[in-house]
Formats: sequence, C-alpha cells, structure tokens
Amino acid sequence: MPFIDRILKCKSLSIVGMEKNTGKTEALNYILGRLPSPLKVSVTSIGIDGERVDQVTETAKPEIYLKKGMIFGTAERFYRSRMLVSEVLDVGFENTSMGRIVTAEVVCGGKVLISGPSSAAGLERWNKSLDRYGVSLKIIDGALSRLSSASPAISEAMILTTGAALSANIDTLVSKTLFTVNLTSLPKVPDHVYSGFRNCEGGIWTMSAGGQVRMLEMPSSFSVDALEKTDFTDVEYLYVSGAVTERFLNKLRGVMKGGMLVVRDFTRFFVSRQAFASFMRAGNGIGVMNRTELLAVCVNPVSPAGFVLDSDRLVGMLREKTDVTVCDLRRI
Amino acid sequence: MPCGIRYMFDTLDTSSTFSKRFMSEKRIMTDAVEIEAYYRILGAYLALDPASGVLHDVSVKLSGIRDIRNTISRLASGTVLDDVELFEIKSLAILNEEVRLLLKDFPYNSLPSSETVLAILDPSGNRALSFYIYDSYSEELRAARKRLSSLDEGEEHDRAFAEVLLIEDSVRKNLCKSLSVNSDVLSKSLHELADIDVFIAKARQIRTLGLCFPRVSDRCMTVYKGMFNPKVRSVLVEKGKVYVPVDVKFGRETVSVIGANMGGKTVAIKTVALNQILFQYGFGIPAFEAEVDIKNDILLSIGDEQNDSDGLSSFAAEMKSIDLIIKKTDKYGPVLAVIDEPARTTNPVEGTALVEALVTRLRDSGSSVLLTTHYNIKNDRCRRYRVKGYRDGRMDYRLEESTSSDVPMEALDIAKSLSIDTEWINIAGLLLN
Repeated sequence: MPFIDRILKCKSLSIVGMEKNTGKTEALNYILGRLPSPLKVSVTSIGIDGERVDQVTETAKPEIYLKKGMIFGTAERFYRSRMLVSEVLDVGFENTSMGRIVTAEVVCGGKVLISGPSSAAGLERWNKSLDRYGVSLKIIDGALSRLSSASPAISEAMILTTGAALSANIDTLVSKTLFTVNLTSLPKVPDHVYSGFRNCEGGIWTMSAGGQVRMLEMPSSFSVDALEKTDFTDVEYLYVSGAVTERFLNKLRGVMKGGMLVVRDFTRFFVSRQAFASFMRAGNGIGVMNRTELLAVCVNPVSPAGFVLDSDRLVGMLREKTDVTVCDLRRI
Repeated sequence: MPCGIRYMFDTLDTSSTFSKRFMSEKRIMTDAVEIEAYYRILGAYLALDPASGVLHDVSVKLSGIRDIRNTISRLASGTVLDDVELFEIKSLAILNEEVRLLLKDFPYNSLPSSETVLAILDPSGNRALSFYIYDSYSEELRAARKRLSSLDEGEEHDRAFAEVLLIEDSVRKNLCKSLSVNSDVLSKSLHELADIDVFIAKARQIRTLGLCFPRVSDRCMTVYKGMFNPKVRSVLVEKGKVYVPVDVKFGRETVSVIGANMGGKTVAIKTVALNQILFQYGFGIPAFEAEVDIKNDILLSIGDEQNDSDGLSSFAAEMKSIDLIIKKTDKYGPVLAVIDEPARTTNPVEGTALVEALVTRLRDSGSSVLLTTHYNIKNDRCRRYRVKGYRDGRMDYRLEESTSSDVPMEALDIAKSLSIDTEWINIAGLLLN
C-alpha cells in the first residue's frame, strides 16, 4: 500500500486520468478497498456538461464499488440503477444536464455509476454540503478534460493515472505523462497575488508591481490580438481565469517582459511541451492559484486496443525522471 | 406589464423559489370577502414580532420546500414512487410538522397534520431527513440484506441483490398504497407552506418599502393618498433625488390627466394600475392610505407598441391596443383601463377628436378609465387632473383636480431647462407669439 498512508493525512483527494481506460476505476476501487472502516468517506465524480450527454452512454462512467457507510453523490438516473442498498440523504435543487444530484449513504456495499456535478460551483457546493455528515475524506473522480468547468484540482491531493491508452509508443507515453507531472509541481502564487485575483471571474487580469489589479479588454485567451496592444512594462502578474491555449502562450511569450503567468490550476493548460518550455526559457514564470499535491502516478500497461506494454520498463522510465511514487496497481 | 409589478415581485424575498412561482400562477382575487380575509391574515403575520425568532426559524425551514406537485399527483393516481420521491415526500411531511409546531400559537395556522404520512415513512420516529426502504418494514427484507452484506463481489452477490430489490419493490408498493390515501393532505400541506412563505415575505416587504394596508371600497371609489411607485422611487433615491407622492381619487368614470412633459403623468397612471394589481394579489399598497374598488381586470396601453416583426406602424399598433381595451371593457367590466397618450402617433386634429371620442365611448361603461393626453379635449363629463407642473424652476409632480380643459404650455420652458439647442427653441417661441 504505497500511498494509502499519505492519503489518510488528507481531507480531499482527486483521482485524475490522463485518458480514458488508464485504470482510473481500478485506482479508485483499490483506494476505497483499503481505507479503514471508521473513516467517513465521500465519493463523487465530475459530470459532463450538457451537450455531451451522448458521450456518457457511449463511454459509460466506470462503476465503483462502495462499502457500507460511504457517502456518494450521483445523478438521479444513475441512482435509480444502483446495485447497492443506500439511504437518500439529500436531493440537489439544481438540475444538471444529467438530472439532479442525489446524495446517499451506503447501507449494503455494492456498485453504482457515479456522475456528479459538472460545474465548478456545483462541485464546491456539494463538497461543502458534506460537512454536516462528518466526512473526513472527500474523494473526487475526475479527468483532464475540457468538457467541464469543474476541475479536480480543488483537492488537496491527487493520484494521476496513465497508461497505454494514452499512447502505444512508450516514449511518447512517458514524455506526455512527465509533462503533466511537471505541471502539477508548478508553484502556488504568493498570498497577495492569490487574494488579488481570487474574486476575478472570467477574463484576463493583470497585477502591477504596486499590487493594482486591472482587467484586460479581452474576452478570453482565444482572442490573442489584443495582447499586442497591451503595455506590459508594469505587469508583474497576468492571470488567465480560463484555459490557456498554445496560440495564446506563444503570443504572450513575445510580449511579456519577465512577468509571471498565473492560471487557476495545472489543468488549465492546453499546450504542447515545446510551447511551454519556450515560454519558460524566455524568462517568464508560471504560477497557479490552486496547487494540488501529486501523491502517485498509477500506470496501466494494457491498452483497450489489445496490446500490453512492458510494465517494468514503463514504470522504470517514469521513476528515472520523477520523485513521485510510480506503480502498476496490478503488480502490487 | 410595464407598470413596476416586476419590481414588486423581485423584491418579494420568499424563502423558496417554488412559493413565488406558485403565487404568480394564481389569478387575481375579485371577491371582496376573500380579499378582506386575506388581508386579515397578512395583518396577523405583520403583527408577529420580527425579533422573536419564530419568523426567522420558519423562513429557514421554508427554504427546503420543493415543487413536488407532480410527484403528489402521481402518488394519488396509483403510481409507485422511487426512493428519491419518497424522500421528498418525507421531507415535506417533516417540514410541515416543524412549521406547524413553530406556528402553534398563531391564530391562522391552517396547516394539516402530516402525522399519518410520517407514521408510514418514519417508522422509527426519529424524524431524520433521510429515507430508504428500512429493514423494519419487513423481516424478510432484513434477512435478505443481511445475506447480501455477507457476500463479496460476484455472481452470488448480484443474485442476492436482485432478491433484495424484489422485496424492496413489494414493500415500496404497499407504502405508496397507504400514502396515496393521504395525497390530499400532502397537497394541502405544500400549498399552505407556500402561502405562509409568501405571507411572511409580503409582511417583510411592507416594512421595507413602507407600504400600507388597503380598504376594500364599498362605494365604487378608489382613493389614494400619498401614492408612490416603488421602482421609480428606488431609481430616484439612487440618484440622490426625492420622489414626490401624489393623491388621486376616482370612481367608475373616465379620468383624463394632463400636464407638462416630464411631469410624471405616465408614472402616475402606471402606479394606479400597479396598485390595483397589488391590491387584488394581496400585497401591501405603495401609498400612505388606500381605498380600492375591486375590478375584474386591469388593462394597459402604455409605451411604444410598434413591433417591426408584425409589420404594424406605431399608429396601427396603438389603435389595436386601445381597441382591445374597448372590447374587454364592454365584455368583462368593470375593469381598470389605463391608457397613456392615446392617438399620439397621428396628426393633432384627428388625434384630439379621437381622444374626445374615446372619453365619450367609455364614459358610461361602468369601468374606471384613466388616460393621459397633450390634446385640448373639451369633454366636460370627465374628471380632470393636471400635474401642478413647472414652477419656480422645479417640477411639482403633485396632481390637482382641474376644471379647465386647457393643457398647459410649458414645453418650451422645459426644453430650455434641459439646455436644448437655444436657436431652435427661440424660433419656436417666436412662431407662437
């Protein structure tokens, strides 16, 4: 049990998959199966936004095995098809694309499909509502995805799953994984920067050396032309509240003068390793508002296409380049 | 309806959104006895001491109301509900009992008892806000679940689970059968709780906005003293200005309101319409004092109704709107009809004739018709009000009854006060002299 002890010290944990079929379910079930009974645990997963509802039926969310006493949150329609006995504790007022979220406590263990809130606000609200049930560990099943505004990075700690489903080529698989691992180690911004940008909803903001916060006249990082018109002489920090695209990052690299790019969390980057490295080399910094501690990387060498990579080699290559715990759960 | 009613609805802070929606789905009250009874109850809620904590506790509980009307009617028709729905019904029943207890000394507490429902859904009596098909409902179920818990994942587990489901379904069916007998009680409970939420919110609104309790008129008169429009007032206050309340009274007759531009004529008649609606919906009335004559309907023709997509010109749109009012007045009277500057979109000669004719047409309809105009209408059998107008460099918005039919000629003075192009205004002045 390489990292269970570290998990027990946390109040919240995300299981994040780099790709579907990288063993997220196994990792989650592995952890849930090894948590001591008196610990009050809650489980939910980040749901999918409206228009992609068909995606859920196409790639059904994994079924998770929950034990007696665990609390979970899932969409009403999945609650109806549960394979366990549970007590309804609450029903959300908001209607998400999959219906309302049902919160329940397990009476007799079994499996259930979990698809929880899909918005960042909804996820936070649900997590908060658990305090009255005395939950000590909140687990979120998430994914690196553009499909929802909710980010798994609101947790204290994280487990990343990767595997052959991400790439058949072991070198590509390793470098892509390591890139994400490095992203998780991006530093958290200083306190005054955090409080300065904390309530900035949407858009792009700057902070001067004197701490003054201003909003840029740009709707999103998708409209890069306005960057050229901005004066970066007194910009110490530039906060992008949404996603950072490659085009934006490259443009910014050209105009920023040694300041720091700030994003909400590491999941907001949709850029290549090269673009990222170039940006850093140009003398700019990158920081995050919310930092999550990466506890372990779990590897699944089996690809859904049928082939199996060499597990030892894969684990070895990753261990060479990072201090984070790496393991193949099937081998433990 | 563009008279400020939206503002009154928006500033009504009910604890649950369902209560407000439920209220707005109701029709206006048209029966004097019903209206008087409603205001008596509202008065009792207003008399409750806000500092006592009862109101606060009740409001907190009421925030948990869910719109389960659909669920209740399905229960009544014999459908077997699922655990989530049963949870919602149990929540309603518990909420009902808790509010009923909090209001036990309140003179108008008409919440039914949901003890029977709770006896079914809360066998242990611990009033927990949670639900599932409890073991205590069936020994067979308890045994089946015990067996299920002893099994690990696998085929046998799945089979045992299927068996549990079968027993649960049969228990659920019986529960719903017993519950459906109580669906009237559940329905009444839900409606009453929503009503209580609205009463409390209305009482709060009366205090916040400084509203008054109206009297139902027994002499077909509507009399307002110190009438104001809350939305307009809030806008003015924000700008650091003062709202001038007005006095007005009328019976079942036609009333014309004349006066200077920007004198508040439109706001005045809009507010009369607003207050009529509020009265027949049981709100506090924005006035110092109010005696109101009940009407069957409130009709408005205000503002620019030109609608490009209909292909109608302003004139056509306006005429059609007034035509509709005339038809409804004939058919559903007595109504309150409020018409802002009828026939304003055509030449003054025909316009004046149209307005005079409108007064004659509706004068004996038995309805109250208020209209504003800039035309000199000679009709002597129509009550006339005029805005006191522009004097000493300031606008006096108060209304006074006037015998003269001559409209005031203050447009140029007002234009000057707005610093409109002086050359243009001077030429106009010369033309008039």
